[in-house]
Amino acid sequence: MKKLERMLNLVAALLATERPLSRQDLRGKLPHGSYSDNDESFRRTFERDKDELRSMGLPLSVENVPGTDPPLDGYRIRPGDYEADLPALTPAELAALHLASNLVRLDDVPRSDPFWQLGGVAQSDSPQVGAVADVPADDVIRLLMSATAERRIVRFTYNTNSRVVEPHRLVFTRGRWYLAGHDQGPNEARQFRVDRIGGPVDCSEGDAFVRPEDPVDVSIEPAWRYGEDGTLIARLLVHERHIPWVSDFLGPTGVVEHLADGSAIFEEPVSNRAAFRSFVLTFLDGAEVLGPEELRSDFINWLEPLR
Amino acid sequence: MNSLTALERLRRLLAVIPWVVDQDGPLIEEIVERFDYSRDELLDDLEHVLFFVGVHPFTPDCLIDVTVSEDRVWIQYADWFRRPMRLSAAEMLQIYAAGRSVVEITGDNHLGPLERALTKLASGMISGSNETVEVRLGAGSMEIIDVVRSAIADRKSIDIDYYSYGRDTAGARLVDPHRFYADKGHWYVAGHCHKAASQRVFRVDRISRCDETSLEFERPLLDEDHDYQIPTDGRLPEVLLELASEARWVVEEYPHSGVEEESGGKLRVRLPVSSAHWLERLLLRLGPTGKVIKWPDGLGMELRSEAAQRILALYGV
Repeated sequence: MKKLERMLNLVAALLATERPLSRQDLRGKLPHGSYSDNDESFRRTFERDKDELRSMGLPLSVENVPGTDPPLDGYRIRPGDYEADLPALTPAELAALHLASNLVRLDDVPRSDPFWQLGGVAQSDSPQVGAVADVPADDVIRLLMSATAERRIVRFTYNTNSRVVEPHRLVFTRGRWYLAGHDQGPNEARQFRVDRIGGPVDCSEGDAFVRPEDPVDVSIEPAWRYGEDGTLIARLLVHERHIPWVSDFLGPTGVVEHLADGSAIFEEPVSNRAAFRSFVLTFLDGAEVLGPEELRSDFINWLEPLR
Repeated sequence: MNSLTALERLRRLLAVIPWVVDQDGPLIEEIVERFDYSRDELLDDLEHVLFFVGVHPFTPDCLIDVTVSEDRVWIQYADWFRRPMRLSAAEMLQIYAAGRSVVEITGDNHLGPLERALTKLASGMISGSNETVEVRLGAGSMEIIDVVRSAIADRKSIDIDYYSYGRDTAGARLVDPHRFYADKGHWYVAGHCHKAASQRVFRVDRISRCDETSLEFERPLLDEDHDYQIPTDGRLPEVLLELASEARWVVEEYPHSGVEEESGGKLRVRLPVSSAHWLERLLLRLGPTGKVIKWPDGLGMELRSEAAQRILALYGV
């Protein structure tokens, strides 16, 4: 008998039952020949089928079979856990969603097409487009997505420390994934660069914490705004050629003065001088630290030994 | 297509069955197209597999009823499979986050099909979970992004003022835009630059002005795999850099063609150099934590001292 046929019958039996069925019950519920008559090879095949259904994402639940002593594992799939619960998407909506998923591809190797479960998309509805972005989404990212959505507490190693985190937000920005949440160890808000999470990520059961009204968000501010150096307001003269991207980067409120030659003066809070110096050096001779004197001489002192 | 495993076919059939049940005799061709099935495989699965599927005791009233005509198919009595399997939280979020980030680029208004689809999708997600994942592709002026996107669609050249980071100069250029994409938090437009007479990549936030012209260009074949990254295969001149342990970020930040650990936490890394100004910046930022050990002509430590002198001149030093 074909494996596909056995699996379909197994899923139908698991969905149709109102009480958990033991392995032997299920063997009896499937057409003769679905499984081997040999108990040991039946057990092995059944265990593999079960693992494969789980790997597909089927919500297979395991409970004790009522009235068994010692208790036997019983299996079923609750239709409420299995069945999609979405308002139907019109062909135009589905096509727009599909197009968006092709423009911004969030996947490494798709194992199957989730759009099938939404009804499939006719190729004639979906123009061939080049992607505008490939966003890496590996198993760790998918796990963290489920964890934030289903409110599972995650455990992982970060900078060699073990962390227990209530994940609030998962954000891809500046080419990287960041996780923000409540770190239970120090009992405070934290954010983590996902590519620096070492080793496996363990998840608790769902609904393990309450999502706060005001969740911890990922914040990617320039590095020099955070530090221990005491905050100074730097005045930076920027050459005209750099103004468009610097304005985008620092925000338009950073400009305090436009000069006649097209250059402009920016004011920026600096709490980490090394990071600020590194930033200013990317301008080469297209920017000058005007003040305060402390920052200006820091900058000169850095450069003097390098000439 | 025939290389699909039983599991892949199972997952697809579980999606196809409820769809066919809903459609009342859809064309086989449409299933082939929608679900990326080969026709032969689909017919085989319908006639030789699904026909025998049902629940105990597998009497005719307990079996799925499949009727295949020449070009259509009907499925009835598949009660257990009346709804498709729900997408996992991660799958929903992937689709949702991709859609949201596209709304950000296109500024699709809330009446558009994409926004409507996202609203429906959010209604099927665990309450509040649609807000948990976000994809921020890049910053940049929406006005310039709009001009670039429409010029690509219209196949019209664009006239831009561009600041070249590598050359550290700004100037006007005429560009045939071929592709618009995001990478590491920035938007880029790749295309043929008339000034350079070759393919170039422009970072959108370094474009200070962008106008669509009336000049039409012929689109080259879209090459999705075209690699716009800095090549590490020796096509560019390379320097060998010695880094102190606190300068390890260089290895994470830039493409390189090899790293070796040295004693005392030091590293040696081979870096391709796309422009002398790029290397100047890197050496100035590294200061005492990085030095060039081997270099082709013109890319040695003298670059750093010349650049330092140019900058110090601004400060009257």
